[in-house]
Amino acid sequence: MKLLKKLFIDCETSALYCDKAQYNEATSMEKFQLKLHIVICKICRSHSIKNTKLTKACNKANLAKMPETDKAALKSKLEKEIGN
Amino acid sequence: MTNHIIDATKWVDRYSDYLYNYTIVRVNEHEVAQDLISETFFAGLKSSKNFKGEASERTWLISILKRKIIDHYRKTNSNKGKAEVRMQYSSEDAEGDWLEERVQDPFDKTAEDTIENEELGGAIYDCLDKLPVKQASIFKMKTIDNFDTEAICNEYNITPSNLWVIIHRARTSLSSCLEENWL
Repeated sequence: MKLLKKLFIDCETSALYCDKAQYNEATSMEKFQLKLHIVICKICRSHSIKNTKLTKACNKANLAKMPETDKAALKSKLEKEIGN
Repeated sequence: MTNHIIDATKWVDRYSDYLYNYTIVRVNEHEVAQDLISETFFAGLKSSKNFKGEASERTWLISILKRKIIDHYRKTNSNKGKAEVRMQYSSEDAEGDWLEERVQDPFDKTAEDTIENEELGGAIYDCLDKLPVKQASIFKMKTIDNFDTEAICNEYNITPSNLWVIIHRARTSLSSCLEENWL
């Protein structure tokens, strides 16, 4: 009974594990619990599909952002210019 | 006539990531991208009186940046022919092989794929702009910079469970924003 309780997770936990899995931060046990949950829960299954699609889209888009150090340097340069 | 007040002090926080993402796919070099963005901001600052407010500040900055990117390529192309081309063949047998054959990669992306991916990047940034600032920056740190959960928690002074809640909200909003055209 205890084991069953451990294996079956609620939707909230499933959402957490699903997010963790997108960043490869879910443990094997968490992944297994998530898979088990989405077999029986239609809503979480559709959420999981969407979430995975988003991860794929982000990888495909090869997103880039300005490094924080460069941002700080640019900000101070700009502020200096505004001050003049 | 309406007054359009430009707050250039917020430009870096608001637009630098979007402009960087826009530039890096076009110039492929961090230093060049950085210089172009910095030039764009300074040019924007100089001509801020010309900003009529017909477009958003970001669109206006992008139009300046586009000119800067074109100018960059013009400058690079005007140096054409001055550069020395050195071929390094992997072995003696390969000497004289066609350059095209050496670089050909049948599994490489097509031009359409590249364009689509650039547009997708823009679309994701558009959706990120609709999120609360903290949510967007945490999402970017986690997804783009690949920071550890612990590092982000320390930076923002939040607990891991707070972080996952923020990530969850950001991902859900992004999914629904992108759903119509991209997912």
